Amino acid sequence: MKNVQKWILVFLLGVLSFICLTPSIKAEDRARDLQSLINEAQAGATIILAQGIYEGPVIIDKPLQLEARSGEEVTITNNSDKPAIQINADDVALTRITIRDEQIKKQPTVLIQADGVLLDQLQIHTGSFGIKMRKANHGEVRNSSIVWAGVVSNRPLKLSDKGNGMDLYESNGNTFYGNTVIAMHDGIYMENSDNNLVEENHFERLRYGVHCMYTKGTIIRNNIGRLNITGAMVMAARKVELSNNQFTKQSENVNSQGILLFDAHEIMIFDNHVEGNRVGLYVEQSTHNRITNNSIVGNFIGLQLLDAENNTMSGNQFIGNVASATSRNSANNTLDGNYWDTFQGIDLDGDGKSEISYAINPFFQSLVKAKPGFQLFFQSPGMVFLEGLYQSQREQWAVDASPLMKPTENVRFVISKHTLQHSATIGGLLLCLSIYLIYLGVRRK
Amino acid sequence: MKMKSFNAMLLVMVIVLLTSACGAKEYKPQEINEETDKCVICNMAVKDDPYATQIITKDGQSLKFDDIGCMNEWKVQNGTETVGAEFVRDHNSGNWLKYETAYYAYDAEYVTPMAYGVIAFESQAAAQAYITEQGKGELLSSADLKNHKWEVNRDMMDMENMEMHNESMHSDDSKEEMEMGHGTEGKDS
Repeated sequence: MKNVQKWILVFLLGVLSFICLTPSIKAEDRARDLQSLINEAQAGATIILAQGIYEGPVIIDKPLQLEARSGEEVTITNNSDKPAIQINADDVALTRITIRDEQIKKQPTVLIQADGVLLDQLQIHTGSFGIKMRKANHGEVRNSSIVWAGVVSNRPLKLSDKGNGMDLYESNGNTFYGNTVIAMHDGIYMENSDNNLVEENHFERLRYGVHCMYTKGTIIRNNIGRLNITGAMVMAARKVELSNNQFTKQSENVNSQGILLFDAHEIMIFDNHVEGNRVGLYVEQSTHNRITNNSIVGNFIGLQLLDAENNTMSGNQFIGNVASATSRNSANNTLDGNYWDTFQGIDLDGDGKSEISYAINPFFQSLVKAKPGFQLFFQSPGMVFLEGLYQSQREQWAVDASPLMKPTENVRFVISKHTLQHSATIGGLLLCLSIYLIYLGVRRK
Repeated sequence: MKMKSFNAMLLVMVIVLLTSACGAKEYKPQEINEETDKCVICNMAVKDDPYATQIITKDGQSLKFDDIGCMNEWKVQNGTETVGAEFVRDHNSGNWLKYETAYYAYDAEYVTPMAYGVIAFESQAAAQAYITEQGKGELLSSADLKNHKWEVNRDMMDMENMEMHNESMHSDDSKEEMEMGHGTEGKDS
């Protein structure tokens, strides 16, 4: 009997020590101070981080490469109000690291103040700015994700609580490739920063996906934006290329649009797909831009031109928008060979282009500017009728001289038709039910 | 008799109320609604932060701006005849202040939504404290703002950038174009 008890005791002790010892080994791992690892390393070294959780904040002030082995999880947490990782030295690289920095604060999660920094496959959960770059040139952020994780306890979250996913100031020649930014303030914000490349990123549920302010030479290519207030906001910018992007469903906010140009000049916008937004393409106080071969599909307003001059538009397709185009005070634009599905042209010489021009009526926009409340009558029969009567100063309207008769073949729709099918099914069922009820009622009589 | 005097009093009260409402027309700033408000000038969403400013027109319309510079731009475009009152917000508390009674700190490098670099304060001391804390900037009153140039900081940054990073990226041509572009910018709008 005693023997058995002894054995049980030994067994219990064994289990206990096992339970106690293993975490202590882990704790030792955890206690391994990342900052001292960095301090001990020689400049130019590569530090392979062992799997586990490391405590921030960390300052990197010599060229180093920090990486996790693929398949292993390395997490840096930060509860201070400093940046989780601050990079002050050129040519630092971080690879495959998860950063949890969820406290709401002013300092960003990653602060870069050096050139040639590479961030690769990072996963950033932030309650502030994701990556802030200040005077940081020729760096690269690729295949990383930045997701909002901050929580405000005592009041609803405000837009102004959030920071931008990537925030650049006086930072030139950087590349942002293959990143995903979700639920932040702006996806990528560039101020006083030139010649940056934004390619194949995914922007979702943000204020603005891509936001340029006082920049030039930015290239925005092959990105996808969904459910933001605005997909691409190009303001006070010059010589930007905006090509082959897809902006869909920017429609939840009263001021939403797919692409907005304001005070933007010499911008090239081509081959973009803009679908299901409040306004597809919004151009205000912008000049000398070339807008070609875009598909503007299924928006409430396809094109909105306000005080825009000397822009060229051709080969664009406006299909299934509630209003193809509206304009105000926009003379001297060259519109030619676009397809407007609401316009019925006549092609006499068989060249595929209409001999009748398509003029964009400024009536509604002028009215709304004077009395914003009249937006309620957007496309109402009375408004359409009045618009038809309004013909004054026609020579100053924006006019497509020779619209296309047919859309070119490459029009595609990207928003799924599932919701449509659902509502069709429900509608069908309701119809059957009501017929049945009427039938019953008639029989009872 | 009693009833009559009561009626008379009521009448007097109504008249007093009406006349006071008419005479001292008071303009009050509206709260910012981040869901719907956008800057009348630059189209950006107006955030519920201290950079937001507001004009209440004489017919009671509220025009909101995301930066004091945009409000100034509106006055340049539309004049001040229809303006009932102008409001800015204290940078520290976010309280609405009359444009005329606030104090301002300006520096080209202060970060504001449209980069005009002008920030409003409730008191002269608070503005001065901010300038001291930042180690740069100048103190302005609303009267001084009338003579302010309202330059956005890129114009100045450009010069620096051109000198600093001119190496490979920009030819002299583009430099000239940029400057021309900026020159016309102000006149366009």
